[in-house]
Amino acid sequence: MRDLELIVVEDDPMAQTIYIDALTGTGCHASFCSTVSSALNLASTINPDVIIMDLGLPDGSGVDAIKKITSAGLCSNILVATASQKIAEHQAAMDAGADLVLVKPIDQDELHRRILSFSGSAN
Amino acid sequence: MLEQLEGRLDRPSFERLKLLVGQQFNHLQETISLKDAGREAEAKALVLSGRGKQLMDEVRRISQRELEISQALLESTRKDLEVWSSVLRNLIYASVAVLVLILTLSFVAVDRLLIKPLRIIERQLAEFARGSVDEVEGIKTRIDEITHFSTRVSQFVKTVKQADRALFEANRTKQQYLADMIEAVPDALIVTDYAGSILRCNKAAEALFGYEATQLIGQQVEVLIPVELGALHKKHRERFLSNPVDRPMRPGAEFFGQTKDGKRVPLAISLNLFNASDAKQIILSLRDVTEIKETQRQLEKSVNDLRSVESKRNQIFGMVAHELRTPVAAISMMAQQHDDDEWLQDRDDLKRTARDLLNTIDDMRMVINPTLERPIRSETFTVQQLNASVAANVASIVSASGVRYEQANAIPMVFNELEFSSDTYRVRIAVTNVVKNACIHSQGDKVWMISRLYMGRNEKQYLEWLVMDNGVGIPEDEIERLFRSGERGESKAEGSGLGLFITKSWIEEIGGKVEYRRRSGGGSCFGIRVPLVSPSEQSSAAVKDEKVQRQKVLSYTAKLNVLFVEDEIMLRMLGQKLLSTMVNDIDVAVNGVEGLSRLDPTHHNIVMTDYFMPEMSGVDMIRQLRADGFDGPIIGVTAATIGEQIGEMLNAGADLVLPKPLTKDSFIGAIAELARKRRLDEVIVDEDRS
Repeated sequence: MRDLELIVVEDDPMAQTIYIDALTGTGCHASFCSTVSSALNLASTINPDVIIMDLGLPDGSGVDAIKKITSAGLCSNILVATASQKIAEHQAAMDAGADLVLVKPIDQDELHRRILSFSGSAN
Repeated sequence: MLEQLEGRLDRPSFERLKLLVGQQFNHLQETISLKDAGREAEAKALVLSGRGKQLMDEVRRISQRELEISQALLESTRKDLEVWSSVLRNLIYASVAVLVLILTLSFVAVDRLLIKPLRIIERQLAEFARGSVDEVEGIKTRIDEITHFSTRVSQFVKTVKQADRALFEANRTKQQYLADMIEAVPDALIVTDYAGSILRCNKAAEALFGYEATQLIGQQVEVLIPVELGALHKKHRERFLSNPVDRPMRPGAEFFGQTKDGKRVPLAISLNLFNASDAKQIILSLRDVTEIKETQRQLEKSVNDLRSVESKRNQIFGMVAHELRTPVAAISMMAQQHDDDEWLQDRDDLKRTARDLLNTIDDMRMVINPTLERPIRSETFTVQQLNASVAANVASIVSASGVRYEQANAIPMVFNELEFSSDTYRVRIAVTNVVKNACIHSQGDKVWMISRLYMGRNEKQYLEWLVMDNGVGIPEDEIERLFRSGERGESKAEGSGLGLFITKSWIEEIGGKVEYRRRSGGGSCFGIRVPLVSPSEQSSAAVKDEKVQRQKVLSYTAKLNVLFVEDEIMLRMLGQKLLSTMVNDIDVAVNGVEGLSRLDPTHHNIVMTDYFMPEMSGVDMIRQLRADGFDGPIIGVTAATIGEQIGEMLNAGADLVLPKPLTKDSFIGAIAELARKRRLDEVIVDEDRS
C-alpha cells in the first residue's frame, strides 16, 4: 500500500488533535493548515490524495477552497468535516466537488476507516 | 617338350590374371571417373582403401609365378633342345628368320628376364635348322600373350605409381600447411625434447630472441634464459621432468627471457607435453609482456599517486581541522565565560555558531575517516526554531543561487510550541544539506521546504521535512547512486556539505529515513523523516541521576589542586578562568619543562596538559612525570582530532584525554570518570567514609 498524501485544513487546534489520533498508524503524510490560502498553496505543492476540509475558515469559505482545488485538478478526494448541520451547506460542498461530508463531532473510527478506503482507491 | 610347356602354363591361372587385371582397370577407371566428376575425396578414399594395392599384389604374384614357370620351362626346353638338337637341326632352319624377328620384338616388350633364355632358344633354334613350324607358331603365340600381358602389367604399375605419387603429394601439401601454420602463429613457439634441447621454433620465436632457427636448434633451452636464472631453470626443469604432467607454470611468477643481444624480456609462458612420433616433447608458447608490464607499472604508479594525493588531502583536512578547532574552542570558551554577562545579547547565537563550527570540524574528520562514528547527542528543539535555523543556514546559498526559496510549517498547531527531542544538529544539518543541494543542483528556479507529520504504520509519529524543487529531477538510475558514499550526482555544480550519503546514514542512525520521490509535476522531492520523541519520554530518572551525580562530582572538584599546562595564552587564560570556578586551586605552566618544575607533588593532585607545546611536549612531560613517580591523575587536552596523539598520551601515562575546547561539562565528565576508576580516592576519601 502506497503512503497517502493528505492535507488537513482545520483552524481549531483541538480538532487537529482529533485528526492526529485518527491518522496515526495509517502510514500517511499529513500536512496541517488553517487557512484557505495555505491550503491552496500546500495542495498545489504536494498534490495530495485526500484533503480533509473544514468549511468555516478564518480567511474564507471551505466551499470556495473546494471549488478552486477541484477546478485546478489539485485533488480528487475531498472530505468535508463541518460542525454545521445545515443540509444546504452540505449540498453546496458536494456541488463544489466534495466526495463526502462528515458532521462534527467526528467518530475517529469512521474517519480512520474512510481514510483507509481512500488509500485503497489511491492505489 | 611343347606338351610339357602347354601343361605347365595352366589356362586357369592365366584367366585369373586377366580377370584381376581387368578388375584393377575397372577400379582405376572408377577412381578416374570419380576424380573427373570432381568427387576427389571419394576418389582418394578409393585409392586409399587399398583395394588397388591388393589387386596389384595379386597380379604381381601371379605374373611372378608365371615368369618363374616360364623360366623353368625355358630351362627345361633348352635341355630338351640340346638332346633333340641334332635330330631337329635340319627341320627348323626355315623358322629361324621368323623367330629372330619375334624374339627381337619380345626383347623390347618382355621383361628383361625373358630375354636371355629367349636368345638361347633363338640360338638353339637356329641350330635346329627348320623344325616344326606349327610348334614354333605355338610358342610365338604364347610369347605374344606374355608380351601383351607384360605391357599391361607395366601400364598398371605405372598407374599405381601415379596414384602413389598423388597420395604423396597430398600428404606433402598437408604437412606443408601445418608447417606454414606453425610458422605463422603470432606467439613464439619452441619445441624441446625432455632433455631441454631445442628441436624446432617458429618465426615469432626467431623474432623474439633474435636468433636464426638454425642457431637455436640443438641448443639447450637455457640459452634463451638470463644467465643468472639458467641454473635455477635447469633445476625447475629437472624437477618437472620427475613428474611430467601438463600444468600451468607457477602462477603469479615472473618469467624472463634473454635475447641474442643480451636484452632481458619479461615473458608470459605456457607449456604442454605432447607425444611426437618417436619421443615425448615439450611445446612452449611464449609472449613478450614488456608492454603489459609497463602498463601495469604505470597503473600501480597511478594508484600510488592517488593514494598519496588522498593521504595529503587527509593531512590537509586534519591540519585545517586542528587549526580551526583551537580558535573556535577559544570562541566557545569565551561564550561560556560570558554566561553571566547581560550585555552579550547574541550570546546564544555565538554559542550555537561555535558549536556548529565544532560539529562541522568533527564532520570533516568523519569525511576523512568515515568509520569514525558521530555520537548521537540529543537536544530539545521546536519545529519553528529548527526551521528558522535552516532558513538562516541556507540564506546565503539561496541568494547566491538565485532560486526562490519558500518554507512552510504544516505540522498541527498544537505541536508548534512543543519541544521535541532528537539529535537536533543532525536534523538541522540534514535538512540544510538537502535544501542546499536542491538550490545548487536542481536547475530549477524554485525550492520549497515543508515540515509536517508522518503517521507511521507502527503507531509512531514522525516529523518530516519535505524538500522539493521544480528542476530537472533525477534519472531513475542515478537515484541509488546518489545515496552512495562519495557521489554527488551528475551536476557539475560545486558540491557543499557532506553529501547525501552522510545525511542519510546520520538520519538512519537516529531512527529516521531519507527518501527520494519523483514529483508528478517534474522536479525532485526529498523527504527527511525523524521519529517524534518528546523530551519527557526520555528517562527522567536518568536526568535526575545525572544531576545528583553532577553535584557529587562538583564536591570532589572543589578539593582539586590543578596544574594546568598550555602554551596558547588565550586557551591558558580561559582554561584557568573556567577551572578556577570549580577547583580549589589552579597553577599554570606554558610548556612541559615549566610544568615539571612547577609541579609540587605535595600540593597538586591532578595535572592537565596540552599535547603540542614548545620546549617539551605534553607526551614527554607525562612520561617524565610518571618516571619521576607522580601517581596522581593526568588529563590530556588536545585539539588534535585525528592522528595518534590521543593514543600517545594514554600510552605515556595519561588517565584520559579530552578534546578541546575544555568545557565545564567535559571537565566534570572527566572527573566523574576518574572517580569511577577510583583515581580520586585520596581526594574523596573523607566524602566516602563520612
